[in-house]
Amino acid sequence: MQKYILRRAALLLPTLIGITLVVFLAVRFLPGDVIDQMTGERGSANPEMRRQLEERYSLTGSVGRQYVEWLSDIAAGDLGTSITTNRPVTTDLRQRLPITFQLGTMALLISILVAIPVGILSAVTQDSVWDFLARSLSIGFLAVPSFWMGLLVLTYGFVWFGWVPPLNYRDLWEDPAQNFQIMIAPALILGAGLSGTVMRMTRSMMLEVLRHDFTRTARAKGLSPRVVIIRHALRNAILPVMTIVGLQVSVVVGGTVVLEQLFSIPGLGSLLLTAINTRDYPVVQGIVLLSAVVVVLSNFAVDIAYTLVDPRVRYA
Amino acid sequence: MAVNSVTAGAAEFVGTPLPGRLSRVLRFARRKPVAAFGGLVVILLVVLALIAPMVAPYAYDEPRVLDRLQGPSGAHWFGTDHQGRDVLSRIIYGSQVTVILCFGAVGLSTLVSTAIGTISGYFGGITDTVIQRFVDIWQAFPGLIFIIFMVSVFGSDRWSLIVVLGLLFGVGSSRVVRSATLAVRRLAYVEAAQALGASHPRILMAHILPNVVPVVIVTASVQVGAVILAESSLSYLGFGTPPPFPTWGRMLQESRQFMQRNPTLAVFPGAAIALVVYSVNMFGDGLRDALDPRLRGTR
Repeated sequence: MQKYILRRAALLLPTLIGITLVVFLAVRFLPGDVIDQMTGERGSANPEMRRQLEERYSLTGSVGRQYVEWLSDIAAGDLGTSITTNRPVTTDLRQRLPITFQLGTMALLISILVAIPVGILSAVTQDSVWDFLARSLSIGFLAVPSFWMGLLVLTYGFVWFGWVPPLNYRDLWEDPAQNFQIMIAPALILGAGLSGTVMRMTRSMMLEVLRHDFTRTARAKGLSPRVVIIRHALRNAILPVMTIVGLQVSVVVGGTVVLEQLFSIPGLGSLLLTAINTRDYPVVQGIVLLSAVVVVLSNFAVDIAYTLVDPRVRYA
Repeated sequence: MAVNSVTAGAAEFVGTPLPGRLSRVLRFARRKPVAAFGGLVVILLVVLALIAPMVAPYAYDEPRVLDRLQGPSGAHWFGTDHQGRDVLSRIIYGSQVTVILCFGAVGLSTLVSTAIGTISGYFGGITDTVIQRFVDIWQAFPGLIFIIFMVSVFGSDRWSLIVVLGLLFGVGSSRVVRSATLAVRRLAYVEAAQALGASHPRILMAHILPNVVPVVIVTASVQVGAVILAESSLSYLGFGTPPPFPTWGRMLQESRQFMQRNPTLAVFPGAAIALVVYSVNMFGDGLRDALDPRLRGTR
């Protein structure tokens, strides 16, 4: 098993390097010159300033050397300096990441807490009214864009109930009550969107497992339906569900961008949008890189969890 | 293997003579009314996009300042926006963007996923390993963030969007085509063709491709919904195709600050997105079930 984990970890490296290459090269494809765009925004084409800027953002020398320099900076924990605020990019990321992390975690938890019980219920009562209702809802959630659900909540929350989410963001540790008031609506919306996929997976895996002989044996032994479902069926059905939840991390990270924008939450997503609108490419690079690394590491974590839960899983 | 049964189901369908096919379509509609409804909505959407100028009651950019922010009425079924433009007409014209982007992006993504998937699966070995590592890298980027990033670099005109969305979804779904190819490539007739000395391109085109087509079709149908959702989110965030031509996502963004005065502005464009995505997904689900008898009644 250790061998499996090591081999899986070794696969991380080329992926991570590939990610940095994509991020690095994409910015080099910007139409025109990055410095032109930067100086253009400031209304200056002074050659001296240009040279200084190029040096400052390590844009001198060959592309290969630039990449290697950039990579070694990253390895040293330096993602460059924001063009608009002049702060180190890492400072901004460190400030914003916990907010997005909190939103994403709340959404994932909500989706799991809703989807798994509903999925089980739906499978156990297959073809009943409950099953039909649960399936229709989960399919509906998959079709509704989260930004639309957010807009409806904001618009009709105000029109019908006079509800407006608190305007000033408060940190979780500073003011938990207000933080919760701000975060709960976007977390619920994002969670609802995710729960559709998880619920469908739970349902179809449960249906498959419930047909197996060992489930029948457990029932024949006279075990209560509850024990059969939780201890025998769910335990075997949960692995693919875990994989889906792991894959959802990528959806969550993307989804937070939209919901942070809607609910004015100062996380990574809203920073990304501001940075793109101000053409602050060091910040954009930093966020895209960070989000990809988060996805890769969470998929790695799921794979490892897989081997811990299921002894049958071995590297094929 | 599911893939084989999909192939078998489709081959059976294609082999049926025309009147038989029609009756199978009718039977599909009877057995899967929701999927048939989905298919109908999709057809209506395409027709609507084609004849938009004929059916839209107003022009999409015709401001009537006196009629701003009206709720639904006989003259404006879906009300008017902050410039007094007719929301229904804008939704009808907006369907053109949705349809063009879908055809473009899903078409490109199908080409990409088929090419990558069949080549990677057929050749195997080092080719497969290298290609799959690239797919890994590609999939590490959260979809929406990657699209926003790419569009901010390459621009957001119609063609850039089609290319970015098509590549993103194409590479992502190449895995499905690859596993279908893996299932086919060990079959006897492929080996026979190899033994006869057929070239690799010939085997790929004549023997592998026709057998993965059903999987490709099902994958494509799943992607249509994803493309619409991605495009509308992008438009909503302000990275979609440029104004003044309406898109459903941008309609919601533009009228964002006026929604408290005319709440129905928040309703109709979003409902259009949700209805179309729902219909496409239902149709895709039904298609998969119809093509794969093994799944009948399980999902």
